[in-house]
Amino acid sequence: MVTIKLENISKSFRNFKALDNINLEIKDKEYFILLGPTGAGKTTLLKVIAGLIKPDSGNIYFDGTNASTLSPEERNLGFMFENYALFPHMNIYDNISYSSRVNARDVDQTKMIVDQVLMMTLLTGRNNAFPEEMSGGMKQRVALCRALMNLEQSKLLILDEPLKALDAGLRMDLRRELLLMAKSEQLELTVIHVTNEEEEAMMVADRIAIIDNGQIIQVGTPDEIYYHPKNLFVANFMSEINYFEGKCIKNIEPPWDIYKKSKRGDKFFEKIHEDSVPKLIDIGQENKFATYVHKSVSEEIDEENILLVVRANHMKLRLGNRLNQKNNAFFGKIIRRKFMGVFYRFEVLVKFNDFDKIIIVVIPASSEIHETFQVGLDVTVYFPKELGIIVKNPGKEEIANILKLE
Amino acid sequence: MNLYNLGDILSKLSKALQDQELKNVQMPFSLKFDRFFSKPIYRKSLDIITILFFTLVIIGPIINIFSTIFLNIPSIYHDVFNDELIGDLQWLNILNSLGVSFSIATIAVIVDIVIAFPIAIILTRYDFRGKKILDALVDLPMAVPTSALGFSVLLFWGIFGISPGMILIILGHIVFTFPYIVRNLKIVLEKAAILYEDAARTLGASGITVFRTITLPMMKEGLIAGAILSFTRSLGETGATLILSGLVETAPILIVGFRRQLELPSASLLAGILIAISITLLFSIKFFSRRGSFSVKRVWPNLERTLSRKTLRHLRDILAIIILIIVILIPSFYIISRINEGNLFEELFLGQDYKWVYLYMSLMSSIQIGALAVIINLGFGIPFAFIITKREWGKIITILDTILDIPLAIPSAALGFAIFLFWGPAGIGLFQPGFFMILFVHVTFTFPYMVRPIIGVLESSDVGIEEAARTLGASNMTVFRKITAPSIKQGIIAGCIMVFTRSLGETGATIVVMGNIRTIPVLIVDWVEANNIASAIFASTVVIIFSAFLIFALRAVTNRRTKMIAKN
Amino acid sequence: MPKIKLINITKTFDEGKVLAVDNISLTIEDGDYVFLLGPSGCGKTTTLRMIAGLEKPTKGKILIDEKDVDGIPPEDRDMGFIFQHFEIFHHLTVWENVTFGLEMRGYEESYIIKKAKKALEIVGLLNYADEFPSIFGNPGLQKLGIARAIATGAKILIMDEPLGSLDPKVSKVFRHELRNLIKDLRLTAIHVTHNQEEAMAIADKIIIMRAGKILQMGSPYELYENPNSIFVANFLGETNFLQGFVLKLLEDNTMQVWIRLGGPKLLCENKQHKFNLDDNILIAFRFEDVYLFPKNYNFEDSYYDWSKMQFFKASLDSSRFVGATKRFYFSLDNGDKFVSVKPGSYEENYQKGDEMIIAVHLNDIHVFKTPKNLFHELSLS
Repeated sequence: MVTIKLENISKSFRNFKALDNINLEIKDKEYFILLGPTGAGKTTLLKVIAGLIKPDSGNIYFDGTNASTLSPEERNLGFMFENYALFPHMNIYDNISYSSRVNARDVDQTKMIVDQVLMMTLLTGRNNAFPEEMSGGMKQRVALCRALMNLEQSKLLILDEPLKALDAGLRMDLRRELLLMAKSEQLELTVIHVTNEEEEAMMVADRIAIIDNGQIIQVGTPDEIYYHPKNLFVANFMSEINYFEGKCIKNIEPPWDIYKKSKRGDKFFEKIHEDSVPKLIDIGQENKFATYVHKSVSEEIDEENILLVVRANHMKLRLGNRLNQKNNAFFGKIIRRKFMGVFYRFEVLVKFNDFDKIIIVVIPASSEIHETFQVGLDVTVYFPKELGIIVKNPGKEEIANILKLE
Repeated sequence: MNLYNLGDILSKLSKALQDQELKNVQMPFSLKFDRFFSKPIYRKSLDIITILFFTLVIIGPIINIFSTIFLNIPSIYHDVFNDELIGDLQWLNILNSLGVSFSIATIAVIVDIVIAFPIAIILTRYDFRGKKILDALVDLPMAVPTSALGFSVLLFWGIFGISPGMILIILGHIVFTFPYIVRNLKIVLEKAAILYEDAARTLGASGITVFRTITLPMMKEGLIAGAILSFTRSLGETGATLILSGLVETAPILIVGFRRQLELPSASLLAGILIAISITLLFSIKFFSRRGSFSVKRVWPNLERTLSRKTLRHLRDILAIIILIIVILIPSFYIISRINEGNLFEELFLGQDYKWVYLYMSLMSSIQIGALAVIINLGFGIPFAFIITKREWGKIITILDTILDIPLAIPSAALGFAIFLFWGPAGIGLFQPGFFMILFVHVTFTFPYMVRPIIGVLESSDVGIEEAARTLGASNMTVFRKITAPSIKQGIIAGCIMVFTRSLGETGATIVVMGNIRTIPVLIVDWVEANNIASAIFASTVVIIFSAFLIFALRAVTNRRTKMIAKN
Repeated sequence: MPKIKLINITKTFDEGKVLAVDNISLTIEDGDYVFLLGPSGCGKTTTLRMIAGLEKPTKGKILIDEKDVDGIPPEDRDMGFIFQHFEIFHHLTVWENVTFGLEMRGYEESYIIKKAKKALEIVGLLNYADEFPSIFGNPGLQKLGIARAIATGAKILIMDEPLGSLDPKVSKVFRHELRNLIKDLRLTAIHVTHNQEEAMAIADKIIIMRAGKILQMGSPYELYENPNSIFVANFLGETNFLQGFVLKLLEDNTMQVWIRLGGPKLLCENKQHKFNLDDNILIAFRFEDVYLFPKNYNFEDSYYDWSKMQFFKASLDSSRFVGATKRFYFSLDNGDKFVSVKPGSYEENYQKGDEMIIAVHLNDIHVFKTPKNLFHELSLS
C-alpha cells in the first residue's frame, strides 16, 4: 500500500517562495498528475517528496508514518528525472542495475530481472551501450527501467516531465504506455507524474492537482477540472476559452427543461450538474444566457460580477441568424477559419454594445464543415446550457495577466 | 488589451505599413568602418600576426633550447659529464635535483588533494552563512607572490624550530599549490552535476557510495588534469623555494645557480630536461585521462552506509578545516603579524643604502611590467582566443590549444632561461638582460592567463545572439563591437586581473633574465638572503595586501558575471 | 513569381560523412506560410539555415525573387529571423533591440523611429520600450524577437521552432497570434518544427521531411486527406493501421481486402489499379473517422446512405475522457487493436467489453503496400 500525505509543506529559496503551504493526499494505486506552468514549483515539490530537498516547514507521511526525516536513499521510491540523468560513465546494464548493486541484492537474480526488463522494452543486446549513443526514446526507457528496479519494497513511482524531451509524435504513443504499465497487474503502482501539458494530464490521470506559483489551486478528477474549474486560471489552462463579463439575473425555476434528453438516455450531464444551480446570465447582449453555477464556486462569486466561460470546443455553429431562446446564442460573421486536421478552428466576430469580440469556435472537421462555413458568412454561435462555466471575475488586470502572453 | 481584439488592430496597422515610404540610406561612419575591416583579408592578416606572435613568444624559445642543446653537445658533455675536476658530478647534481623536485611535488600534491577534497565539497555542496568568507580565504594564498609566501612560511614554522630544508620546502609547496587544487576541485565538483548524485541517492546509494560510484568517475578527467598541472607548478616553483631550501637543491634552484655562475651548458641541459618533462606531462593529460577507471562495480553497502553517517561527515569536515587553518592559512599570513619587528624604520629609511628607494623602484618596476604585460596580452590574447573558439581549422586548433598551456606547466626558471638564450646576447641579441627581457618573460608566462578566461566566456556565450545580429545586417566587426565584446567584458577583466597578479608574483624566470632591475618578489628574495629581515617583512606585507586587493577585485567581477548568467 | 525556389539542394557535413539534406527541390510562393515539418534530424533546420544563408549548400541553387543568392551572406538577404531561444540582446533595451536591424541598414533616424514604433505596437510591447528584456517571460521575449525581425520591413520571415520554448498551453494560443500577424503583414514565412499539430493548426502549406528528403508537400488538407506514404499517414494526426492482403479485385477501382489472421473483410479503393491479387497491404484510417454503433443498432430506420460504409465488429477495451475529445480503445477478433476519437461531449453509455459495430467510410480508408521494414516505416523518427 502506498499513500502519501503532504501537510503544510513550504519551501523558500533566498527571496523566492517556491512552495506555499501545500496540502495534498494521494491514494493507493492512484495515477496522480501534478499540472502547472513552468516555474510553478512542481519539480521542487517532487524533490521534497523524494527527500532531495528539505522543506522549511511541514510533514510528509507515507502510509500514515511520518517520513519527513528519512533520507532519499531510505524512501524506496522510483524517481525518473527530466532529461533522465543516466550515468554517462556507465553502460545500460550498469545504469539499470545500479539500485540492486548499491542495495546488495542478489547478483544472479538481478541479472535475470534486468534481462527481462530489457526484453520488455526492446533493448536486448544493448547491454553495453552507453547513454551518449542512444536516442531520446531509448534513454527514456532506460531511465524508466532504472527507476522501476528500485521498487522492490515500495510501489511509488515519481516522474518529472517524463515525455518532455521527446518529439511530439512519440509523446502521444508513450503516454498511454505509461498508464498501462502503471495499472498493470504485475506492477499496480502509485504514480506521481509532473507535466505542463494539459492534454497529457487528461489522458492518463485518475486525479489532477493544478499548481501555480507554489500553491495548489484545484484538485480533482479530469471531469471535475474540465467541467468545474475553480477559477479563470484553471479554466484557461485546460483549453482555449471564450469569456464574457456579466451578472446573474435570477435563478431558473422549474419546469424549464434543463437536461437535454439524448436518444440514448445518457445521464452524463445530470451527474456533473448534480450540485449545480441553473441561473440566467446577462452579458450585455439582447438575449440572455442560461447556464449552471457549480456549488464549488457559488460561495466565491459575487453574482453581480461574474465571468461566463465557454470552451472553444463547446461552441457550435449554424448558418445564418437563428434566434432560439433556449440555446445560448450569438450572431456574428466568420472572419477566419483554419483546418487543423481533427478540428476546424473559426474566429467569429460578434458585436456587443460597446465593443466587438472575437469568439473562437473549434468543431470536428468534416467535408460538410469544409464546404458550408466559409469566411465572410453570417453565422449563429451557440452552446448548450450544460457546458457553460461560471467563475469569479478577478478584475481586468488579473484577466489580462492570466490570458496575456508576456 | 483584450487578446481577441488583436485582429482588428493588426488589419488597421498593416494597411498603414504598406504605404511606400522614403528611407534615407546613410550609414554612419562606425558601421562603414566595421564593414571595411570585416573583409576576409583583414581577418586573415590579424590571424597571421597573432599566430606569429604566439610562435615567437612561446614556441621559439623552446625550440631554441633544444636546438642549442643539440648544437652544443660537445661542451655540454664536457661540462656536465666529463669535467676535468669533478667528473660527472654535475650530472649527478642534476639528477639529484630532479629527484628532489619530483618527490616534493608528489608529496605536496597528494597532501593538498587530501585536504582540499573535503573543503571543496563543503564549498560546493553545502550552504551556510560565511561560505563566501571561507571561499575567499581559500583563494587568498594564490594572491600572494610566492617569495613573500615563502618568507611567511619560513618565519612561522621557524617558531617551531623547523629550519630551511626539505621539510620546510614541502610545507611551503603544500601552501602555495593548495588554492590551485581547490579551485580545480571546485570546478570539477560543480560540473559533476548534482543531478546525477540526486539520481543515485533516489536509487538507494548513501553518501560514500555516491561519491565513489558517481562523483569520482565523472570528475576523473578534470581531477587528473588539475593534479598534473599542480604537479608541474610545484616542479617549477622558484621564489619561495629559494627562501626555504637551505642547502637542498631543487631543479629550478639549480638552474638559477647555474645561471648566476654563468655555467650555461649545464643550465641549458637542465632547462631542456625540465621543459621536456613538463611538456610530456601536459600532453599526457590529453591522451591518458580517458583511460583507466575507478571500479564502480564493487559495493559494500552496509559499510559505506555507516561511514556516511552524519557524525562522521561532520568530523571529517571539522578536521579538514582545522588543518586548513593551521597548515595553510596561518603560515600564509603570519608575516603580517611580524611587521613591527626589528628596526624596520631604521633599516628601511635610515640605512646607508636607501632601501626604501629600492622598495619604491622595484614596486614601480613590478607595476609597470605588469601593466605592459596586460596591454600586450590583451592585444594578442583576444584574437588568439577567437582563433581557438571560432576558427574551424581542425587539428591545428587542438595543437594550439594544448601548446597554449605550456607556460603554465613549464618551470619558470627553465623557460626564462630559454628566453634568455633565444633573445639575449647568446642568441639573437635583440635584448639585453633588463627591463624588456623581464617584460618578455612576463608576457610569455601570463599569456594563458589572459586567453583562458576569454575562451571560457566565448565558449559559454550565446552563439545564437551573434547569428541573430548577423541576420539583422551586422558585419563581423560590428557583431564583435556591439554584441560579443559587451558579453565577454567580464572575461576580459578577469583575464587582466589574473595576468597582473601572476606577473606581480613571477620570480623564477625574472631572476634569470633581470640584469640590474629588481621586481618586488626578487627584491624580497635578495633581502632575505642578505638577512635584511625587517625590510623583507615590510616588502612582503605590502605585496600581500596589494595582491589580496587584486584577488577581491577578481572575485567581485566573476561573481557579477555568474549572477548575470543566472538571471538570463 | 515564386518568392523562394530551391533547386536540387544537397548538404553534407563532416567532409561528406553526414548527409543532412538529400537533393531536394521546392517552391514557396509569395505570401505563403510554409512549414518544414519532420522528426529530429530530418534536415529541416539545415534546409532553413541554407535559405537564410547561415549554411552553404554543398550542391544546388537557391533563388530568391528569381535571383541566385549563392555567396550572399545572411545580413544582405533582407529576411527577418526568429529563433527558438529568442536570441535577444540582453544588454540592450527593448527599443535598442528593435532598432538594431534598422541601424545596421543605415536608415535615417526619423524613419527608424517610425518603423520601430510600429513594430512594437503590433506586438503590444510599446509601453516597455525603455525597459531591459530581463523583465519578460518567454512569450514576451519571443514577441520582442518578432518585433525585432519585422521592424526592418523584410518580406520573408525565417523561423526555427519559434514556439519551442513556450509552455504548451501558451504556444497553442500564441501560434494563432503568430499566424494572424504574418497574414496581416502579408509576409512570406518559413517555419520549422517537429510538432505536427502546430503545423496543421496554422500552416498554408506543409513540407514533410525525413532523413534529408521531402516526402510530401501540400496544404494541410491535402496531406491529411491524401497521405502518399505510411510515414506521412502516421505522422500527421493519429492513424490506425491494420495489415491484410488483397482478396478480390472488383470493377470501378475497388478491391476487397481481408485483414490478417481472420479479421474482417473490407472494401477499399484501388486507384489506378495500383494493387494486385494477394498483395500484402496495410490499410490506414484516422482515429476520428471511426463511427460507433451499439450491437443492436437499427440501420434500416435511418435515412443515411450506408452503401459506402464498411462495417465490422469489435469489442471495447476501455474509454477515456480527454477534455476536448473522448477516446475509445477497441480490439478485433484477430487481436489487432485500434482507436476511435470523438468530441468530448459525445454522449454514450458504452461499457468495457461491449461488442459494437464499427463503420468506416470507403473514402476514409487509405491503402499502402506493406513494406519490408514495417517497423521503421511506422516509427516517428
